[in-house]
Amino acid sequence: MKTLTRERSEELKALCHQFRVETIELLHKLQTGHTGGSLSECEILVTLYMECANITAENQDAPDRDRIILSKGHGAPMLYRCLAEKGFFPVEEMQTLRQVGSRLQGHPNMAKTPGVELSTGPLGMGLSAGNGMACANRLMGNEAYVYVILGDGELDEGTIWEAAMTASKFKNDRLIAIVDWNKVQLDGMSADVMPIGDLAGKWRSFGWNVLECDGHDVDSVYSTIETAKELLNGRPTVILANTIKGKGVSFMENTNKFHGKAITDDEYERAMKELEVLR
Amino acid sequence: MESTRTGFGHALLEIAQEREDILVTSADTYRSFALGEFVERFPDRYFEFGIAEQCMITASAGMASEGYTVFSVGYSPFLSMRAVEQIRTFCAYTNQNVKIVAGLGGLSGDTDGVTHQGTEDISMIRAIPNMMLVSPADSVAARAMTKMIADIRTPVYLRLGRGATPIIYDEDQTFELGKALTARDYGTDAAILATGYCVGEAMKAADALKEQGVGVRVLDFHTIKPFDTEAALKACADCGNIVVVEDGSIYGGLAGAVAETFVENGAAPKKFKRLGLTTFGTTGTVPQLAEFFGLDRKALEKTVKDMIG
Repeated sequence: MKTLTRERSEELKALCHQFRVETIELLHKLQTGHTGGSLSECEILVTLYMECANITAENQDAPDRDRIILSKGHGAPMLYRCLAEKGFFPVEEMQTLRQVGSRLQGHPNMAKTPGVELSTGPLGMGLSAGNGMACANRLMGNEAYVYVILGDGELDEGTIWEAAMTASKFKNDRLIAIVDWNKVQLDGMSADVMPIGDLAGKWRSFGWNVLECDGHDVDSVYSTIETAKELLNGRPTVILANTIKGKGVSFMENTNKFHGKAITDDEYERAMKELEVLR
Repeated sequence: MESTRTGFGHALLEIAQEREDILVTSADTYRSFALGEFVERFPDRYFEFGIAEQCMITASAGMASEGYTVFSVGYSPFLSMRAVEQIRTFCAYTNQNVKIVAGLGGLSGDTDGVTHQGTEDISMIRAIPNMMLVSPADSVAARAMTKMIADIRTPVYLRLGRGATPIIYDEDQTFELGKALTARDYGTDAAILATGYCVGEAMKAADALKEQGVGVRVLDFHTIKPFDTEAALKACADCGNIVVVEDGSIYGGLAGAVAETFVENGAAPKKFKRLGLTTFGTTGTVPQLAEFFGLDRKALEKTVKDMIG
């Protein structure tokens, strides 16, 4: 099993902390944007972009680059922060998020934002597009991986399971889905909104390899993604990443209240205090 | 007689022999589009998604984003309505090179009834930015236009029929995307603006009216979007009496496009009549339905005669 060096692990952890703080600062300042999901996907995106995926601003047009699709497009703030860190655009541009004329649209737009592989936002569709990319890459002889980050709420959509069947049929073993399994969605707890049941069993029955990890532990995320990359057994792989919606700020955790609501001044101050304590 | 689907399928096979970037995605429908030989000869370039249109369209967008030209075949009601969000957001918003090939357009779903008739597809697709909407009148047009849309790199909705319909054009007929074709030009008593199956009926009506001393121009709007504003305005200026005929909803359909164009440009027809659907269809053969809904040669003849008094 591949592991991060202790030094690299600490660097990634520090980066995640920094991105959390910056995201809350930004969304508070702008009074718009999805906080909860951005915080839950943080370690997944950071580990993927900074460590596991072959993606740089320089190779963005190279056929053999890896593709990352954020199917849960509302998690755009953390995606954009990662892309800025990779040099796709200046970090200062983050301040234009969701503003008229900005390249950083409310949900990711591949035509406007460098580094965005697919326009997303309508839930349940990223896996289908990832299948298309994986099929096309195989046809071209590209050994690129296609990573699709799914929210667990969007697993309610039937199209996810159409895509799950399709990936299995086409033996897309370079397709790796990562479920940001935070167990909360817009209206409440996923178990109440739409109980998903045996999630691992569902994917297995669709012909997928199923791995699980702690989605907030960069070491666990890293090792699991690297394991998934090496499987290449004719089956697509899903990683069920156990996460906490709103991770990092106690009163934002495990609640639907901060799915997309603006952060008040009071909440902002309390969040910053908590994060400073952690620092 | 030949289906527009056959014209499409044969054309695509020809193109695919010369171009390796041509892919086909299917929703359990490739045989319906005369693609059996394509699948046999190019199995690697055929992707079967089963009865899952939304999944197919989105995956097609993913393939197109990697540089391929993807022809995605299915049925009009299930593409233009069930998968309309996927067409809008993943093909049009992203401007991907996906050709949505929709059989059963308009009333051509015939005896299967309303569930299988794509009578709102023009209205649905017209509203979507970046989409081109092509509606060939016969198999010859379908073959020619399939080749033309393969050469452009933007998303296109190709509206096809189902059963065999009359061949109305000579094999050497030329077409230009975005330009209405003058299919008959017998005079300026009236103009019939038509698309798809109804073009043939309009031509027959014009021929019959000519025998009765009435001169009619017939315009084939094989491209509904982008709309040929110039041809529509010229027909209004030259002929005054305008009939629009289509085998789908007049709300937002070809009739909508014509009416919008006239009003916006201050063009005032002497008389203006929209022949098309304002209700759901019903079960029947295409000729029966054309007669039932007043879209056939006889209805057109009568409409023109009533107009010119």
